[in-house]
Amino acid sequence: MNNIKAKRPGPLASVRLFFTDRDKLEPAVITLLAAIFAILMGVGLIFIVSKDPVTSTKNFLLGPFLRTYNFYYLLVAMVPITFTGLALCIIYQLKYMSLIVDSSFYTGAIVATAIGVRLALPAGWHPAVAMLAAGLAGGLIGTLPAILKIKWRANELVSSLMFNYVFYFFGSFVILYFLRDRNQTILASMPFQKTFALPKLVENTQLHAGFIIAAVFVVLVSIFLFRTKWGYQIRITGANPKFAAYAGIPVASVAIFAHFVSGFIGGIGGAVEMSGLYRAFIWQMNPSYAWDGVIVAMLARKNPKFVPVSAFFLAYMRVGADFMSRRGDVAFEFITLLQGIIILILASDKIANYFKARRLRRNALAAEAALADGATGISGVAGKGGRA
Amino acid sequence: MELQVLRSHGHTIIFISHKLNEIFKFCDRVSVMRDGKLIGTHNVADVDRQTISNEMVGREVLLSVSKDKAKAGDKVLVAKDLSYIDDFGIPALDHVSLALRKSEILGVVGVDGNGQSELVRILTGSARTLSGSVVVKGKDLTNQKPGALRRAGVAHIAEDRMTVGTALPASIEDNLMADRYFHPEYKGRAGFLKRAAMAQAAAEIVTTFDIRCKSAKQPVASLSGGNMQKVVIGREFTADADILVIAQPTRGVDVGAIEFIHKRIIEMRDQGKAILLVSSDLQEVMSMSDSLVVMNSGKIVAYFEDASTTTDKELGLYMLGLKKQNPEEIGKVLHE
Repeated sequence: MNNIKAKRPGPLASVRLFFTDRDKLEPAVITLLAAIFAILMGVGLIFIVSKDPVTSTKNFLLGPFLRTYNFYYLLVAMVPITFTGLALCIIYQLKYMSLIVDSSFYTGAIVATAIGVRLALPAGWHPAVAMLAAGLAGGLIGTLPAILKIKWRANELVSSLMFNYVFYFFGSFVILYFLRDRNQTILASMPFQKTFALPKLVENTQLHAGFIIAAVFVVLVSIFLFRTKWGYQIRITGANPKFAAYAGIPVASVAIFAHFVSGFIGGIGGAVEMSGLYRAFIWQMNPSYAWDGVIVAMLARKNPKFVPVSAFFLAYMRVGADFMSRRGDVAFEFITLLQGIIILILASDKIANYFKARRLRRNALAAEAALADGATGISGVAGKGGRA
Repeated sequence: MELQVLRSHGHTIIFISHKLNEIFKFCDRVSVMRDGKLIGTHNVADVDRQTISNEMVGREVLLSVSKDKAKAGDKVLVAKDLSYIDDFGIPALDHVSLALRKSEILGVVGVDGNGQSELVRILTGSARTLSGSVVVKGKDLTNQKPGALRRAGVAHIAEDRMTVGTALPASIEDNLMADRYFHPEYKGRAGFLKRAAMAQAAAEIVTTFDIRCKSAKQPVASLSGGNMQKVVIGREFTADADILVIAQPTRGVDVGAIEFIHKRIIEMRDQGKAILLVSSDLQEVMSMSDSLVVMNSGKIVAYFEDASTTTDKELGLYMLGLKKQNPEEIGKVLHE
């Protein structure tokens, strides 16, 4: 009855397991269908609003692959949303709703700007020091909503959204008063030191070493969540905080620590973006990569392993929509509609459980039929009582 | 009884229960269901409890608990003067003292909501006492966190397995390891967990405690009530604790699992564990316990060193607050 495999399956076996274990496969299929459905909706929309729908559709769907520049740009666009997606995976594993990673990312970029402009450090060390400092700042900021929630039961979603304003304006203040380049007409910081730039992976493209750093973090966060005691504590606390406390897990410190790690990753993301992509801080508004991170983490089903896939998908849609809007009459903003559709589908428990409910019902009916076919399913004392 | 009045007025009543007492008290006919199928229908007058139980489980079950006489050992947990005021300002626990001894089951009887839950929560670190102390094996652990009490050797079967005793969406394996993942046999260097060792240990518990499942990786939510409770018991009984605080071990569990759980509790006692058993099933506490305390309105109102010297009628008088022992008699529960 209990055929339990005590040994952990190898990598190949776990891939096979994934495709045979329907409880894992079905959510993946639904996610894929949501993505496909969103794309189809997008195409439908294009046909409604565009004067030249065929060209626009082609630009939207194939744009990212038509030009090498576009493709590299897609890879670059993956980097920040991979960081915020990973950060949110940790928060969602904890079953918190904080969006403070937006502040962590933005402040991380500000801290990195300060270090990139003001400090003189050898190449290599310069971005590394900036990332560490940005990570620490992001991590500390990240803990704030968790502390408020634990100390005063303040709703973490509300408090994190408020903090996002606070840290956004604080960041702008720092740029404006301490780092601004007064020779520029737009709001921009003074240029970064040469040593601050991350190396490019491919010459004459935007693809920078931050892509590799993001990939490394995907692996690190996966290990952190599923192989370490901290990840275990976070997952158990998320599954049932009352149970976790009862079992002796220090739930308050776990929540704060998880938020620190999440904010740390967000902060590093901000620094990587600065040193990888820019020569000075030139954001005129908050790019809000945390909101993209929400979609990435949801598409990845809060599993860091799938974050690169969902980040690729989101970046693909973005780059496609960007390319199409610049060459046609469909506005870039239509992408937000598609994102909304994806979130609606993924957030619906009923859709999520559709396959499972159908399968369970079928199995039960099949078992019933097998029983009726003459198998003597009732044993022992049942005979004594007889069926009424 | 209102149901009997309704029946005498000509109403038809369908009464659904897994408590044999209730069935035999006021039902005329009984049908047994198991695994979604009708197993049998009888006139209650023509059938005995054993037959009904067997039909419910699908095999012969032992209804009565068999156990040797307790050989109570040293005191391992002494709680003195515990008090708790609930959210409505009512004293739920009113200066309660008791001691647990090795190889002894101390039963707590009382109508639900007379301070039993609060007593359990304070003894296991889930609630804070306003006065007094909890001393475990000579160490003062008053108002420490659940983790500290667990490390000191207090295991706890929570009264509600759905909201506290398990994490429903987490796997059976993760549920079984939640109190021990940091032990050296499961935790390697730098915070890494030895997942293979954890899976191995979980699989062993699944086998020993007969948890019916396809795999230890499936979520606890997919198990039946009885098997869920076996997950809780499997974890707490393998925690290597000297003291077991057990609340409602068989609430909403089928007859077969009850038999299994009762056997295990007696086994733990015979291994020398000190056990506090709280249950709203009077029959269960009376048959399992070596000694008994009765609680009413947050106070201990009676103590019986030998549980077999009292009857359910006498306990009923204490439970309803109609009778009370003098402080000297009650104080004997401390064994000083």
